[in-house]
Amino acid sequence: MIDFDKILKEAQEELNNITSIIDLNTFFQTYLGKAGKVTELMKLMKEIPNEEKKNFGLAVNNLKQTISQNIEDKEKFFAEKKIQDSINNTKLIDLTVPTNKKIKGSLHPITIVQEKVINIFLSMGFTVEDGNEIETEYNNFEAVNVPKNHPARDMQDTFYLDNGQVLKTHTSAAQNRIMKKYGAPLKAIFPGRCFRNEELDASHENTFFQIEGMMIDKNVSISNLIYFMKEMLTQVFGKEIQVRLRPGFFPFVEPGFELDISCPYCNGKGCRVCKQGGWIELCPCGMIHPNVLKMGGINPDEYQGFAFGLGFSRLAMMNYDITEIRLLNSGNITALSQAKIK
Amino acid sequence: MKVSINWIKDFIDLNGINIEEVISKFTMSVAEVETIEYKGKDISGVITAKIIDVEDVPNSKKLHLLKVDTGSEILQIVCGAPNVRKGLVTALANIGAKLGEIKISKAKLAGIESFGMCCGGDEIGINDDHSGIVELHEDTPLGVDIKQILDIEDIIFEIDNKSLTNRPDLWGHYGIAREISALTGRRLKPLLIENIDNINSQNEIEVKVLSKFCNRYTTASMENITTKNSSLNMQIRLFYCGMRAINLLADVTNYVMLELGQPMHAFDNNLVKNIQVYDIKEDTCFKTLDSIDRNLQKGSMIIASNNTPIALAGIMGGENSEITNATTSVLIESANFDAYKVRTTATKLGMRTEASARYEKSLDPELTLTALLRYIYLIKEQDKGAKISSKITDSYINKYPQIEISISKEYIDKYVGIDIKEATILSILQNLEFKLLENKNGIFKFAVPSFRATKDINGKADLVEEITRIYGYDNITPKSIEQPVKPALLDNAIKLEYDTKLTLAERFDLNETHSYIWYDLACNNLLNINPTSVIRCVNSINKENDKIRSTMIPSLLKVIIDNKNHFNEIGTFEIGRVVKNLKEDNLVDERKSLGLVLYNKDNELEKTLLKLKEILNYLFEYIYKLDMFLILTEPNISYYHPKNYYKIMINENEIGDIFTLHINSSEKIKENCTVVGFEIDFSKLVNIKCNEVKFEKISKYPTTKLDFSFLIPKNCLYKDIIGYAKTINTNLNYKVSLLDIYDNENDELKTYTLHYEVNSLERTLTSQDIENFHTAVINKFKENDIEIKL
Repeated sequence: MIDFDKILKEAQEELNNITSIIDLNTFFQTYLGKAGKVTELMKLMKEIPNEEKKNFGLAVNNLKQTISQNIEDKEKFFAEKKIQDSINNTKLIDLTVPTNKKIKGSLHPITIVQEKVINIFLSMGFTVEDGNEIETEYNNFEAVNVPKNHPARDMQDTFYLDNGQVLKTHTSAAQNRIMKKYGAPLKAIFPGRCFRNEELDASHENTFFQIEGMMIDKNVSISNLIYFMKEMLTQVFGKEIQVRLRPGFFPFVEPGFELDISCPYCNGKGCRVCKQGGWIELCPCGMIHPNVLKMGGINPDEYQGFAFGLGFSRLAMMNYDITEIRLLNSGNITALSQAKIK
Repeated sequence: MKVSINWIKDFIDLNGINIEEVISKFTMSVAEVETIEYKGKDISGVITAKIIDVEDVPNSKKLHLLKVDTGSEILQIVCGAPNVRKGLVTALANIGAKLGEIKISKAKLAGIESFGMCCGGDEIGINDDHSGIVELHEDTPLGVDIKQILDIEDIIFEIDNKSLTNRPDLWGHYGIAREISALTGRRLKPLLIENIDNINSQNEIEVKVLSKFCNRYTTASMENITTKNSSLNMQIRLFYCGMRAINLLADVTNYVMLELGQPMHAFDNNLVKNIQVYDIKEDTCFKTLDSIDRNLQKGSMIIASNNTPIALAGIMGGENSEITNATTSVLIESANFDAYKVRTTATKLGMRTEASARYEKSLDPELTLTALLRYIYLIKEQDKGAKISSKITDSYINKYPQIEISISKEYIDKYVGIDIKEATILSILQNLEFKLLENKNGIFKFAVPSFRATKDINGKADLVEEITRIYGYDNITPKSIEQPVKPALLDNAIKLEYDTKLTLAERFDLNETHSYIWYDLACNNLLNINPTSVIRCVNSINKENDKIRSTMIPSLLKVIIDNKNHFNEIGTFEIGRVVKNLKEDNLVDERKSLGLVLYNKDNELEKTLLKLKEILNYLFEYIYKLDMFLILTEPNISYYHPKNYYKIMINENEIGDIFTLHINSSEKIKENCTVVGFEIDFSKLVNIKCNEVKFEKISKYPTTKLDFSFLIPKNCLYKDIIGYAKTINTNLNYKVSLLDIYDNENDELKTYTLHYEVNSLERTLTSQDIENFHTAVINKFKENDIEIKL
């Protein structure tokens, strides 16, 4: 008589001691493989007398199913254990530790401020134009209503080149070329580097950046100028800015203004930067002089517009709290790289 | 320019008006006021008093013991001034008086008690004279607060001269008063001048104007002038406004100038009898009244008497005809000279005077007669005995045309953007002395007053300025334009510039710097380099640094030098302007140039050059989207190393170069250091059409990978090899890339391993296909004498 219970008991004991999937495969072969113990029992079937066949068959099948089930459970157990082990073995990585890789490169502060201002103007519909650094006397002076012998030429000490050209003293030098290129209506800004023959000190550079803007159309008015300057400067400083106009004399505009802004540092309350006045003189602007329009090929009886010149170097200095304008052209990487890339 | 409120009050009644508000309005509507000074506020307790007795103080050379009558008591005062004398009425600071920081208390000098102090002009702030005590008129009542006798109290505000460049009319108090009148609505009083009908002398001064730069010359003479000094109150005004008292005749010229903006000159009439105005024909030496010999260049305009120069027209008088203590008769010049002529002469001589500063603003010639009559009036007021001793000679040669401007309310409203009432427009302009000639069909026709017509006001826009500035810019409501605002597109060239910079900084850790457009000679000398330049600046600040650069590299090398002590490695770049050529019309061919330099303190040539190449590749592949290749050649720049110099090419165009700094220069930076870089003609680059990315069909059949190693002569470049590798005779799809380079110094040849990926769009490749492709590659290289490595 075959003791099925004993076989099952032995098998289960054996199974309990199995710790690897390989051993489990061997166990499977040992019991359920082609020459396995259970398979062998099934082969005995034909030798069993008919009246016992039924019981024997049930018992063998039962044994086979139980062992199969046990193997399957064991497999499941191994699969789960593998995942659990993998989870347990995963290293905790401390992301709160500072990482070392830093961008050591940097853009020049002017580049960063310029990019910001350009994007503001693009969103307001101004195209961006490029100007030369070396200009003809005509473009720099005559074309912006500063004729020869005009005392305004004394106001700006100009670098002259030996072919008679000049290092442009203001971005306005590009006005004429741009008006001739596009005609009216026109909305454009043109950033650029300007040069004045000045002694260097903490607040004076002979080489500095400006951005010039022009807007010309049939009905562009002083009221529009105030609106645009206020909105644009609010964007530049990232906070609500008040503007006010004072008379200012610049030959290329009529009327000409000095534009003051409410001090962005103290919101006009008075501080060191605005010398307690609450206002900062920021940029000259005005309605484009009819002569300038005419020389640019635009009919002043039909079109009018405004222009302004914003000091980029000044803006960058305000933005980064730079107190020495000379730093900008110094090539001092340690200092300049503080600007980073945005 | 300094403005005295007391003086302004001569012309306008400012009673009941806050002066600070007026000054603030002036800034907002006329010109920027820079400072406000409150004169005399810190002076108190000073009274008039008469010296009635003077005794020497024993044992003191300087001190005197005075008895001083204050009207109510006699005080004992010790005083060190040399001009003390019996009968002198002076300013006495009582005990408890304040003179600025100083508080007067009882004091002992040389052992003698003093009950107060007699004051010098500097002590009460009315001049800078410390040589003696104040001398008041003998009839001055005693014991009266000095402020009731002298105009010590005043408010002085200073206007930024630059903001008056275009306003010749604002270079005198009367013009300033006219603006304040328009701002406050108070009436401007007429100027008190000599009645021209009172002048009945038959004497005539002969005036010959021979220079075309003299627009008008007005003159007259006076005699019997015995008063030597101007009144203290006149002196105070001159002093407060930045001038010094000299003598009566000179002081009044200055006074009239500060009042009307018209410079004047007083000649001693004994020395000057007639007047010629001409441009000198040859260089002449002339002593101006500041006792300096000036070399006048030919062409300078002068005033002469009997053909002897007596004044430099519009700038300064001569010593030979100046007013002295002995002068009792005067010849007065009130003239109008050409602005440019005065300016150029003054600039050449390096002498900018109060007079020349005014003339160069284009003064109104109408002023000369008014100024002359004002001068006569003031002299007569200061010296009752003075008499006019000639007719007025008035040579008025060049008159400015009267300017008339027509403007409509519609135009004004369109220009300003708001609705300004007609009555407001008319009253503003009329207050500024514009004359309304006509008001018809909504069009106003105005005559521009002569004092605004020399250059300032020409057209409608100028009138808009007049209206709006007085109306108040703060009263203009901001308004957006009527047209809808559409965002604009950024020009590709400008975008590429920023993208380049950002990539270099962000991806390759380079630092952007800015440099000057001229070479730094000291730096070039240090590096022993002499870069080319085709144009120079004729008035550079530093005479040595006058050459405009034709390459960015020297500027960047300076950055390396300036920073090398702080870093082991430096990478810096700049997109700046260079001039390599002049164009046919002799104008510069200005170009944008990207310069980039890498520095390593050690000899790391290969590593540094490869980093450079990686940067270059990245820019061209991902930013510019252009196929770039390099050509090895020899540099024609002496400070570049003869080896490893490549031209950067796009198609047939040379667009830049890669260099290693010559050891002659690099060792000046640091021994054994590495300096490499490249420069790209950015203006050229941005105009080359970039590759467009088009998607290719991707084969769904398997790809076969094949590697080939070729033995290549050492002087043969990758760009040639890849050229062969990409032109295989096959109809299969393939891609090729460089897998490896083996280059042993000792071997004759180097090995390049190429990696091919081959497939077909139509089918799976057969072994025959692969075989054929393999043969085609080998054949291609064989044709070019390159063997496969077995």
